[in-house]
Amino acid sequence: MNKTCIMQIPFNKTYQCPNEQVYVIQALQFGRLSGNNAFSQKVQDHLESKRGWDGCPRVVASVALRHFWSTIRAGIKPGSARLCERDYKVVFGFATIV
Amino acid sequence: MKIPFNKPYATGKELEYIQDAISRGHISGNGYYTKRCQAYFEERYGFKKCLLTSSCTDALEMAAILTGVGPGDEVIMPSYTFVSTANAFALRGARLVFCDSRQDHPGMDEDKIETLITSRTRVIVPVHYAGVACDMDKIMALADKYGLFVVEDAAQAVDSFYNGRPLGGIGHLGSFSFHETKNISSGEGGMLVVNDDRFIERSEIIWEKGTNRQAFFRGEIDKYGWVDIGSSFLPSDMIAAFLWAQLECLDEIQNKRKAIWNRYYELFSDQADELKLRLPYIPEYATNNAHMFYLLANNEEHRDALIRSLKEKGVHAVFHYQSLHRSKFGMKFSVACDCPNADYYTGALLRMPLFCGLLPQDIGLEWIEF
Repeated sequence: MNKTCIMQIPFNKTYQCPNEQVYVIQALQFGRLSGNNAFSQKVQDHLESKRGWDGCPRVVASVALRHFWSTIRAGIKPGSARLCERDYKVVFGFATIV
Repeated sequence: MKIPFNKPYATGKELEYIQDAISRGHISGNGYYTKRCQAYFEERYGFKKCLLTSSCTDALEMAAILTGVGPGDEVIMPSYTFVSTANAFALRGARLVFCDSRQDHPGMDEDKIETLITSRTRVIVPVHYAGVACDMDKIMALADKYGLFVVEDAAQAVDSFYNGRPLGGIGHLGSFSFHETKNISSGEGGMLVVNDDRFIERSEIIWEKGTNRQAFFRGEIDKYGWVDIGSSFLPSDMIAAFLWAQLECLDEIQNKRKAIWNRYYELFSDQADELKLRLPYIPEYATNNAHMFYLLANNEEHRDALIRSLKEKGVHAVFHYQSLHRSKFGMKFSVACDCPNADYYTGALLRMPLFCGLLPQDIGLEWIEF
């Protein structure tokens, strides 16, 4: 018996808003595709001014990188571990360097 | 500026592939396009194992973890390089030992490496500046002799070769960049190449936040967990989709860039002596992937005057690295050293605009009337 079955209801499905493609095209037209450019600034400004995320939010590649940044800011050295409040709102993270 | 220093090149398929990645329902890391890009490099260049990363910085940080360097260990690298080469190993607590550049090329002077090796040396990091190979036979022989690892920083060296062997595939580990200024770009992006079997299993774990998730996906284990240190080094599959559109056109892109590079070389070679400029040198064992066209002025004053003169003509030319042995932060992590050639390149090197949308005929004779 073939055990493979196709799920009718997947666990997750990426949701697409109307403007993703438009903004990718605009980023291309700006002539800057690397980090910390027009759209990074837009997102950061939006989070800060419209959503009230004070403390200079910075867009990074992943939340793991955000934790990594926090360990540097917290001055955690190899061998130590500390519970530290992340400077993004929403969550607390346990960051450690082995 | 009439002629910008760089302009990202789009092949025309990028948006289609990004949309396809979304339609496939998997836009996080290690999706369809990530696997396709990795397989492309493995097949085309014979790299043993490729892992796309969010940047070349990420790939170097993974390499630093894999080599196992830590406090007390020393890592030899050129002073004339980007900070990411150094940061990756400084983050592990290693001491940096800066090697001077060659007289004829900004790459590290292979003949000076052995004098820098001590009982604490663990890794040599050759940087293939401008995509031009370091003398890898000399470096690998030293690595063999002293039991060291070699991590090739091939950030600028996609599709470039050393005696017929692809750069990034010679050392134990290699790293590439797909930043917007590189020949092949995904905005930000990079790749780790694992050439040594001993590192393959652990590289996947570090790539996947220190978990054995890849083994789980292959059905080798029934659940995955935290087994090592790591981070989220994977790029989104949308980034990989963008990269795939570029890889499909790699030969076309390379041909266009080489035509621009050759135009510069022909234009300046007749005038070089008169203008007191040196042209790029490419050793016999190396190929030119046309990542960069640079000129070497007499000194910083001369170079800066050239930048100003070009700016007045609407041409955006730029300088490049500031040697790391002189940097405030670099001095904290490094062994004190003199690198007079690196100092020279810091002051004298001038990078000309080079991007796919630039046409050889756009490069005018009037540019060089300094």
